[in-house]
Amino acid sequence: MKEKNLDREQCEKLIQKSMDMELTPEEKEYLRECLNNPELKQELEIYNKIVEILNMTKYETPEDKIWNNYWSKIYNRLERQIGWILTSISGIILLFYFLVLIFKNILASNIAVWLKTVIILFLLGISILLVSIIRERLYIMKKERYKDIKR
Amino acid sequence: MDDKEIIKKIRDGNKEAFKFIVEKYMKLAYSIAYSIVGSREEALDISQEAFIKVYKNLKQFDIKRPFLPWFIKILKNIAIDKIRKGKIKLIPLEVVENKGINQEIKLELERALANLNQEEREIIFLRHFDGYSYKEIAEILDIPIGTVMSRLFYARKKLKKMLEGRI
Repeated sequence: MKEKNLDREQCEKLIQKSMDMELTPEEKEYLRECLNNPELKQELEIYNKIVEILNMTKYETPEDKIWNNYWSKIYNRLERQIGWILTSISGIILLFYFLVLIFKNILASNIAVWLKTVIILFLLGISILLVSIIRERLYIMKKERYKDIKR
Repeated sequence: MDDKEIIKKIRDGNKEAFKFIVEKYMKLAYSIAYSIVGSREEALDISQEAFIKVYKNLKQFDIKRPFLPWFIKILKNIAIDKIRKGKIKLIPLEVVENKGINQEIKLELERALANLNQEEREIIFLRHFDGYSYKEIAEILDIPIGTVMSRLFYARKKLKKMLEGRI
């Protein structure tokens, strides 16, 4: 009984393989024998119908215009990403430069000590927030940079 | 020119070589992404993102290994990651009606395809919709031909079970 089931699965595999035109001469011979069984012959008809439908089917594909612009879209995205990186790095450096400048000016000014302290604390708070955000971003980049690449 | 030569040129900063590899694989990338997400816009976006990621990570790529399976893995991982993070909403696959298929069969087929798992749908797309041979599919997915046959077998068996008596 087990032997018979195995043969049936083998026949079914060959039926499918025949639809892809990938049968060897020996397999063709084996399939011919399989098809003496009316059940398997019917199976072949059903698979043929399914494959016929699949081969007639098309999925939604972009029109030529999209394909023609495909490369330039990638190029523009890459260019913009590089632009963002450069802007961000230079922006951060400039920001820290101005913060230091402001610190120096405040310390050298004649305003009340309590006001100096509040302004310095405020600027310090902003600096800590900025450093924290940058550190978190760097941590995520370092930890998850290759998360999408499973080898 | 084979992929290895092209990759070397891209690493040397040759923009035209990158354009060449993009144009060589853009339709395949779209097809695989579409088989996962079922949306034209998302599939285009994911495929483009995959090329950008490839460009940025090319230094890490082992030149001794084939390029295409590495690229396909990146592409699939981007799609799966977006789905996992809920950045994109999975929509049922839409097949474009073709000569000889009526609306009812089209709907049944869409439903059946939606019920296949990602690997099964992918193999059906590559074999039937894109017309790749067993050997070509094996190369694209970096799997043995036996696995291609077996995946196709179970995918079509599942389709048969769902479509039997309805078509």
